[in-house]
Amino acid sequence: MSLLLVVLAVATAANPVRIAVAAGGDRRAPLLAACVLAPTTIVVAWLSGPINNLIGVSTSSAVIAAGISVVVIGVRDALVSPPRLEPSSTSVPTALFPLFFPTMFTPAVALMALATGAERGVVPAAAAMFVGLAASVGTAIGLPHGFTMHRPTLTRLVAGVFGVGGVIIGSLVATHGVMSI
Amino acid sequence: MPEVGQNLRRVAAGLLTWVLTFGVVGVAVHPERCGSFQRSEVSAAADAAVGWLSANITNDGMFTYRYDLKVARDLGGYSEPRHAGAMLALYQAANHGFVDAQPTADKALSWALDRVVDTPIGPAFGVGTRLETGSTALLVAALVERRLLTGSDEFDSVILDMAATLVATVGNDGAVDAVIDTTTGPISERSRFYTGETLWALARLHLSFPGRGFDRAALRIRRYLISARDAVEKPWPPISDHWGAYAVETMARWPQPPARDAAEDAWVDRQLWMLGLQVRYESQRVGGITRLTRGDVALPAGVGTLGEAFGNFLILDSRNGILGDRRAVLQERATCATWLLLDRQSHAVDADGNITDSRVDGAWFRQGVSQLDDQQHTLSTLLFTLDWMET
Repeated sequence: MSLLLVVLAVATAANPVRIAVAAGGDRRAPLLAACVLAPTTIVVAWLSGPINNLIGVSTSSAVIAAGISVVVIGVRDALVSPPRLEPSSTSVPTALFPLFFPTMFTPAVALMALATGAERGVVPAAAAMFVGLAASVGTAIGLPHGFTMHRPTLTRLVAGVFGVGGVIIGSLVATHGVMSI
Repeated sequence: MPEVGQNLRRVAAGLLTWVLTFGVVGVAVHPERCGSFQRSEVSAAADAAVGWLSANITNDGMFTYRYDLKVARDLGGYSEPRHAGAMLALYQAANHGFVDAQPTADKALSWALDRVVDTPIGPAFGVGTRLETGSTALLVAALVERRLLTGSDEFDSVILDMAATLVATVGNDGAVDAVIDTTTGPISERSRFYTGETLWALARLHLSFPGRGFDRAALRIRRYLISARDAVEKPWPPISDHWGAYAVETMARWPQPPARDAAEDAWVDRQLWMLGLQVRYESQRVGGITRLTRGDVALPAGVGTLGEAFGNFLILDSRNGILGDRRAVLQERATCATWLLLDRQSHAVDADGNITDSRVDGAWFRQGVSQLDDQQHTLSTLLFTLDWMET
C-alpha cells in the first residue's frame, strides 16, 4: 500500500468538515486533538504485529479490514450530516470530546494505523498518518467559521464529498489487501 | 441537563459507529487459523499418505478412486491423469526416502503402461478413444521422476516415444491440444491444467534428455502460458497454476534457462496473489458462522495444489531470488497451507498406533468423501515442505 494512499485514507477517515463543525469555530481545539491522536495512532501502529497475531489476522487481511472501515466511515459521512455542536457543549474540553472522540479517532483511523504499521513498519506508518492528520486538521482550521455555522446544506454537501472520497480511497485500500500475498 | 443528554447521544453515536464498522469488517475479514509444525510431523503425515496409497491399490495397480467414509463404500469411477499424478507423487516420495512408495508406484506404473495405446501422433496413455493429454504428460513426468530415483534407462524408449506425442500436441502458438483421438489425432480443445502439465513434462525432458529439441516446444508453451493463455482462453475463475509453477521452477534449472522478463514477473506476481488470497480465505474456514460467510472447506486436492505451487516458488526463489522481500510472507502462507493439511488429515489408529481402517488412515476427506487426487496433491505438498524447510 503506497503511503500516498494511507495519507488520503486518513485525511478522509478523519473528515475535516466534521472536525470543523465539531470544533465550533475553535481553531486550537483540532490541533490539541491531533496532538492526542497522533501518539495514539503511533502506539496502535507500533503494536500492530502483536495485535494482529493475537486476533489471528494476516497483514493482508488487516489491510482489507482497514479499507472496508474507511469505506464504512465514508458511507456514513456521505449520508449522515455532521452533528452540530451546541454552545453549552464547550463545558467539556472540546479537544477530547467531541473532537478526539468520536470525530477524529474513528475506527477507520485506528484500523489504518494497524494495517499500515503491520505492512510498512511503525516509522513510515507514523509519518503517513501524521501527514494525513495534518492535512485533515489543516483543512478543518482553514474552513471559514461562517461556512460551518451558517451554511448547513453546503457543509453537509462538502462533508459528503469527503465521504465519497473515503468510499473510493477505502475501496482502493481494500483492493490492495485482496491483491496482496 | 440538555447538554448531558446531547453528549450522551453523541457518545452513543460514536460507539455505534465503532460497533457497526467492526460488524461490517467482521463479516468481511475473519481470523485466520494457521499454526506451526515440526519437520517430523510433516514426515509422519507423508508416510501416512504413502501408506494410504499403498493400502488402496489393487494387485494390478489401480487405485481406489473415490471412497465415501459415511457409508464405508467405494464410489468407483476413475481418472487416468489422476492415476498418473498419484504415481508421480509416490515417486517423489520415494526420492525423499519413503521406501514404501516405490513398490506401490511401480504397481501403478504397470497398470498405466498396459494402457499406453497408439495414436496418429504416437503412443499415449489413456482409456477409450479420447485420451487426455494430461495423462500422458504426467506419466512422462512420473517416469522421469522414477529415472532420477533409480538411475535406470529401462523406460527411456517409452519416455521418448511419448515425449514425441506430447510435442505433437503443441501448436505453433504454444497452446496445447487437450485431447488426442486414437484415430484422428490431436483435438483442438483446451484444458485448465494440461497446458502446464505438458510444459512441465517437456521441461523435465530437456533436463534429462538434452539436445533433443524438447526445449523448443517447452519455450513455445511457456510463452503462451505466461503471456497469452489467460487472454485467449479467458479461464474463470483465473487459474492458479501449480503445474505452471512446477515448469517455471524446472526451466530455471536448465543449463541455459530462459531469461526472466517482464511477462514472467507479471505472471509470477499474479500467481502469488491468487495463491496468497486462496490460502488466507481457506484458513478462515473454521466452521460455525464461517460456514455461512466462507462456505465449507475446500477439496484437499485444491489446498494441496496451493502447497505445491508455494513449494515450487520457494525453491525457485532459493536459486534466483525471484521473490525478493516477499519470501517471508510467502513462507508464512506456505506454512499455513501445510498446517491446514496436517490438521485435516484423517487418522485411524488404535492406542498402540496400529491402523484400524486402511481406507481412512492417512487420507484427506471432504464431507466424508476422499478422491485419489486428495492424496496426490497433498502428499506432493508435504514433500515440498520438507524441501523448503531445509532452504
